[in-house]
Amino acid sequence: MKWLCLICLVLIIGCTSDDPCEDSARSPLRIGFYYQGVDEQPAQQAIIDSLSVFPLDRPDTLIYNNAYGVSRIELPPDPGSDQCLFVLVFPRATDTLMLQYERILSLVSAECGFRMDFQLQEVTISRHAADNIHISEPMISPQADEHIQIFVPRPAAF
Amino acid sequence: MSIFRFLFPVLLLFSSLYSRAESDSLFVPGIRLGLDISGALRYALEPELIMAEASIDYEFRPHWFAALEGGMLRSNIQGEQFAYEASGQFLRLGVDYNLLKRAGSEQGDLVVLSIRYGLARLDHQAPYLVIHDPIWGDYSSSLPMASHGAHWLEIGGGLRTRIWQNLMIGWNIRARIMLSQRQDMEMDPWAIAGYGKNTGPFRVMLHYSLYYQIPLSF
Repeated sequence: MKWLCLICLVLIIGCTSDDPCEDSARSPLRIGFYYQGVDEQPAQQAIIDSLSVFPLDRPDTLIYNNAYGVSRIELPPDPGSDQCLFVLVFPRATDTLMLQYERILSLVSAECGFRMDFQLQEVTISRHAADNIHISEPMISPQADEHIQIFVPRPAAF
Repeated sequence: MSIFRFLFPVLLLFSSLYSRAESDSLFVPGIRLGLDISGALRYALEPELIMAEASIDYEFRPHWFAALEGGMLRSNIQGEQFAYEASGQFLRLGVDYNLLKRAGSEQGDLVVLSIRYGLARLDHQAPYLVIHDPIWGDYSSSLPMASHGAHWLEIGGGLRTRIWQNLMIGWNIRARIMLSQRQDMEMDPWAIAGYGKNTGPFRVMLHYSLYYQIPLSF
């Protein structure tokens, strides 16, 4: 019994967890592209041949530049504002994505500092290339794999 | 609803153990005072977070201990990019059940199952902070002092053994399930007194404590 108690004293030193800043100090908006399901079939993951993305008011800041074969993207919401707009340039049309959210600060660790999380309130897309948009997880923090689904037409109709 | 579904088998287990304990005789109640020393160990590894706690428990029936735990949290981080200050207090109330047979218990050895309800209050502020963003540029802000509250449940177990006369040492591991937090929409607390790092609704923490048993004789 005494040994069990003392062994645990050693184990407790190993029970501290590290927070790698790379993954935990940023909260990107994760978007998945899908083809709308037909005849009660589930939606299928879409692959966009070419995609460029930039903030509406910063056209020189390309977050994606003619990225090939894209099915998922990550975009950074503006930590200094309660809304931001991105331009998504698809092969044959361009859409504007608007995000509205509440901002929540959280301290990641003494080493990594603060991170801004975002609670999505509303998302809209101009629907030139995209058919529809859906919020699958409104809390934008590093944990979720996908926050928004954008539905696009199948290639034959694109 | 899911919390009750989780709690029901635990309460059922405790009630069945309780009915077995009632048959013991020659029962001498005792009070134990405890001091959590794992906070000091954590402070050595993470000096920006000070957590301290003490406990008192009373064996009100053979093998059954009513337990009250309380403590504090202090945090003060001053960096180039941010400063964060927090202070809080907590209370936990619950029961322990000793699984060991009476002979082991008389020698001071205990193997306990524990259940606790915890509540905490926290005040925190960020006098200054900067978040770097390669797309949008640096974001600078400061957040004034704000209050935060939390309630949670704990289920766990551990060991205690006598090391000298009335002095005991032991550890326990606790699974914590957050029931509710008073949300501050501007800033989440980094850590909650008595709960630990505020990284999610479920946490597991290990505690290591020294206990002094006050001998009672009626």
